[in-house]
Amino acid sequence: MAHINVKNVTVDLPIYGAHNMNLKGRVANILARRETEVEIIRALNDISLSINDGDRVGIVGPNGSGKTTLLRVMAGILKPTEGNVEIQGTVVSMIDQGLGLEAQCTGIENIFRRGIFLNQSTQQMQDRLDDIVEFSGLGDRIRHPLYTYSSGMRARLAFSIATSVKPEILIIDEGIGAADEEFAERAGGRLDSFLQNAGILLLASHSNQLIESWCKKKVRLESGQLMSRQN
Amino acid sequence: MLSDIRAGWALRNSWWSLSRQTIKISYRRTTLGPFWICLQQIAFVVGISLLYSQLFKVRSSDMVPLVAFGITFWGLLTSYVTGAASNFILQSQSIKSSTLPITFYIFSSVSQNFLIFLHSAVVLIPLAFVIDTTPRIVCLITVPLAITFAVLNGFSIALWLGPLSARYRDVSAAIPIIIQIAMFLSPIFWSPTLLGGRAWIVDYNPIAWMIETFRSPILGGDMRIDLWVRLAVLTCVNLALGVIVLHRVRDKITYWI
Repeated sequence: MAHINVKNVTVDLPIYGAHNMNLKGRVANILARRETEVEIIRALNDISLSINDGDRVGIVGPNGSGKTTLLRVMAGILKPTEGNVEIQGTVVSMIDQGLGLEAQCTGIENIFRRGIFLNQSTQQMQDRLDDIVEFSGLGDRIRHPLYTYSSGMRARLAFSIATSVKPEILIIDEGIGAADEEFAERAGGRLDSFLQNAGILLLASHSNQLIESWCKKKVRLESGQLMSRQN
Repeated sequence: MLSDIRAGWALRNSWWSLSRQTIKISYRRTTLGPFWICLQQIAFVVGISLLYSQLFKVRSSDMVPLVAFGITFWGLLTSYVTGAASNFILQSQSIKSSTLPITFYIFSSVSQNFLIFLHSAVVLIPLAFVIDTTPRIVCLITVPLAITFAVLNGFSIALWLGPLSARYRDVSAAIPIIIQIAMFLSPIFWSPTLLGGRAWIVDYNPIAWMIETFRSPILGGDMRIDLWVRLAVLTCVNLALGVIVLHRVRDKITYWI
């Protein structure tokens, strides 16, 4: 049973500038008994959320409202400054489109590279290879180096890999980027089929259309605060 | 406290294949691959050896193996220090978007530099058999042991220098300066016997312990048991420091990069 429980989570991101990001300055401050001042941005402010099996949650909000930070917290990548996060279930996150990818490597080699960063073994990726190549619709281009791919093709590849893993919790930032409509439609179908047998989808996006079609719940963030919840 | 290291170790198949692939890619970019790296290494060793054998009045047939083994091992040691200082900053994108344990990136960088060293050491193997003093049988133990100590120290230093240089960005600026000074104080282009009264420098320089324990048995020099003991103690302290530092700051690294 997958679930994520976020309780009173606050994330303070320190802004390190030249004056407080070097050791020389820090040592000088300690010797002079001065406090080192660090400016802080409150990226998330006292957020509580409970997400259960079968939930498909869309996260919306303006740029810099904390969507990606919240995804990082719920993926278990970022430990919050305050509060607790409980994550149960295997997580696959598509937060960075380029994660593990190498421009000089072919599509196939990159499937294995991405697999490593998603905590999957070579054997597991080998078993899914045909499925990934087929669903991506890249055909023979899968044997070409990644630098020849358009951003839409990269997005197809990334989505096909992430969903082939069939995680219990799938976290997607900014949808499927530049992939075309045909792919977006098939992607929706694929999500439906694998979310049917219970699983969690967290999607942060600016596209209302995408959120409406993929998600059942919606939460809105504004300056790090949870503004509203809609079912 | 050791759970971080265990988590990274459990992924050994992953970082090992990633490291191998990364090196393959770097070779793919140069048409002739490893050939150029070897050629560059040979040119450097021969050039320096000819020059220094004149300056020090040593036979160049003695100088070539000294420099070749010295500089190759030095290359491994410096790659570990510079790698440790830059690793988290270079991998920041991945660290911030993947659930892999932070030690994965350390293992990955350490194994990558180890593989580069193995490739550059290929040139040394024929050399070991043409030098005047044939390598003693004890080398079969000392050489792997010295390399193991280097790798262990490379791993350990990454555990504490990595977080330190992620938090304080001027640390990576200081590293090349320290390496530069260490290079002059370490027996790479010279052997401690040439120093005469100043041979004590070697006694206080950990890099010298590593180079000497690696190289001396191959060149038929004496076995300095005291240097091995120092090296073992250094490794333990280094590893303990690394484990403690990483455990304390692990969750903060994502905030720093």
